[in-house]
Amino acid sequence: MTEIAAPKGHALDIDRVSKSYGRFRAVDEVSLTVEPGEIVAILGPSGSGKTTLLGMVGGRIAADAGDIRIAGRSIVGLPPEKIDAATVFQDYALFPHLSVLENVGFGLRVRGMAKAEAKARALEMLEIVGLAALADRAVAQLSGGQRQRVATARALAVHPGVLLLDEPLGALDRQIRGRLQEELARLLRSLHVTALLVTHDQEEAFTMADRIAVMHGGKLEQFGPPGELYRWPATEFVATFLGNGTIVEGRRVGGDDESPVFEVAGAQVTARSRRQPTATARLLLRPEQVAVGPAGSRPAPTWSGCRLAAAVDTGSTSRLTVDVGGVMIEAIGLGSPGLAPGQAVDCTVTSGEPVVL
Amino acid sequence: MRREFHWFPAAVTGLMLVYSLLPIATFTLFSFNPSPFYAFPLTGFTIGWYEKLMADGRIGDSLLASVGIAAAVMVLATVIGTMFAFFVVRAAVPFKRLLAGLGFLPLVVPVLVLAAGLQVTFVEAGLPLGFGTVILGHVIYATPFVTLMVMAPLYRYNPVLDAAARDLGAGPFTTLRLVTLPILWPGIRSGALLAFLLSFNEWAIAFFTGRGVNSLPMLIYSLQRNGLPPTVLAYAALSTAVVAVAALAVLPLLTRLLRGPK
Repeated sequence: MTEIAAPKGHALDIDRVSKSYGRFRAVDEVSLTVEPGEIVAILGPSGSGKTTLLGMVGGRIAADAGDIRIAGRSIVGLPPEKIDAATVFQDYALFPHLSVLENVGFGLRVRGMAKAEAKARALEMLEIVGLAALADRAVAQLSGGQRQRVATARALAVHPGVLLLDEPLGALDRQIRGRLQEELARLLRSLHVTALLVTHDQEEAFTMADRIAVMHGGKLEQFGPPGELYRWPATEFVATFLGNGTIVEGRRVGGDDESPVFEVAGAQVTARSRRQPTATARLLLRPEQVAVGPAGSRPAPTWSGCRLAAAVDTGSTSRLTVDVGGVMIEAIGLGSPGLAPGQAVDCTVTSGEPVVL
Repeated sequence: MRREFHWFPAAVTGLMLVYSLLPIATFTLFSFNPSPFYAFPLTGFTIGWYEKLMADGRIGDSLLASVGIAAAVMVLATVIGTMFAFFVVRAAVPFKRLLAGLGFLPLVVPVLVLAAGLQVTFVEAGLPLGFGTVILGHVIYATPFVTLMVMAPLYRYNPVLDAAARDLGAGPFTTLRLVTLPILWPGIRSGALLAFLLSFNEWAIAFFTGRGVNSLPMLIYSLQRNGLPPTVLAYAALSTAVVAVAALAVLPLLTRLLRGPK
């Protein structure tokens, strides 16, 4: 990979932006910031408003309210060609009548760069994405992964203040996708690009992004680093949308407000909470927070005398379902389960890890 | 991939070839026949009728008039027809289907009726009948054909391509010039050639709305008033050859257009 001197990406501020279609609020007062050189993923199911939000940053969709600033300057009301942002579109939108090189050079040419210089810069971009050998090919002759890289090179060639990526790898096979996720993230980081990435694929967001904004029903549910979203979700939607786990009902029996103790299925569980917990609460137990062993094998089990309801051996891990007095709790272990369904088991919940939702 | 031979399509193709080539073959054959009477057996071989045709000074003038009219029609009908295609495919206005249908009326109205109607209209409007009115009439006649040719690729056109061009810094006009029109170009080109040929071959509108305009079809019409002289056959053979060459240039484009890219 060649290093080139590219200007560092700009900061992006999205400030209480809203957009309605008729009575449907597609984006509802969403605020988030992307620091220069940071990769932020907007993660959400389809219809969550994430693509609408991206369209507003790109100037393709007019915001009803709020402000969007790139490098501190408002871009609201500007036409797309005046906004210092470039987009990698979902289906790449490569120009079918132009060669690979002409596609990558397009943005430079329309910005008035001389032909020879634009060609040299485009070729440089193609080298960075490893496609210099295909410069003269027609777009139709490329594979999906190659098209994706041409689309990325085309957007990066204009050195955008902010790079917008709309499900950039969504159209690719699973196997290529995993490899390209890391490759693309490495490329963006090496060029210090500020990137806003829209995806419905949790793995893509977690692999590529520094911070993730989870959207649901037009609202921003939570914005933070991937690990925080997983281990300390702020809402029940984030808890269930990201990863597996069990949500159980608990009754407050003690502890302080930050680490309250709840009674869950007859045992005491120490949780953690962002706000003053109420007398009853819903708690999130991630599978890896629940350790399962044969009855009597653990020194101080949270629950003893449970029954193993199901065990699925996936090879590297085993997914267990434990029946705790009628409450089904998911757990996960490394390697073979070593337990048979129907067997009596004990469970230990890691103290302080379950989250009050 | 190995293609199997199917007798039915082959037979149909053969019949079609006979059907469409027979009249052309007949008049081409008789255009080289010395006798001015159209009856077998042929009496010999001559290019005398062609010489006589070339000697007739009116042919050159008519050819010039026809090419001039067809060229003007091609330009106007292509511009208007392409814009109308954008209206039909992209516009969001009430009663669009009705408006589009009205625009396509010249496709279904018999050309003679259209020609007569145009004559009355032009006269009532006080327009002097001449080259201008013939061009105007041909534009009305040829425009919907151009529109049909452009509509096909426009329906397949991915509007995200325009968004991508704008996103990369191209203004609306640059986007049209560098992205939209080049991608639609095969359709526009076919439409333009079709408009040229339609005008070049058209007789009724020229007859009704073009006083003193002696386009080629008009000339043939006047030549055959006292029976059909073999010079007309010679002309027919020549012009068919010219049109066939032009059509062979258009046909591959049309096929590609109907099949879509790849």
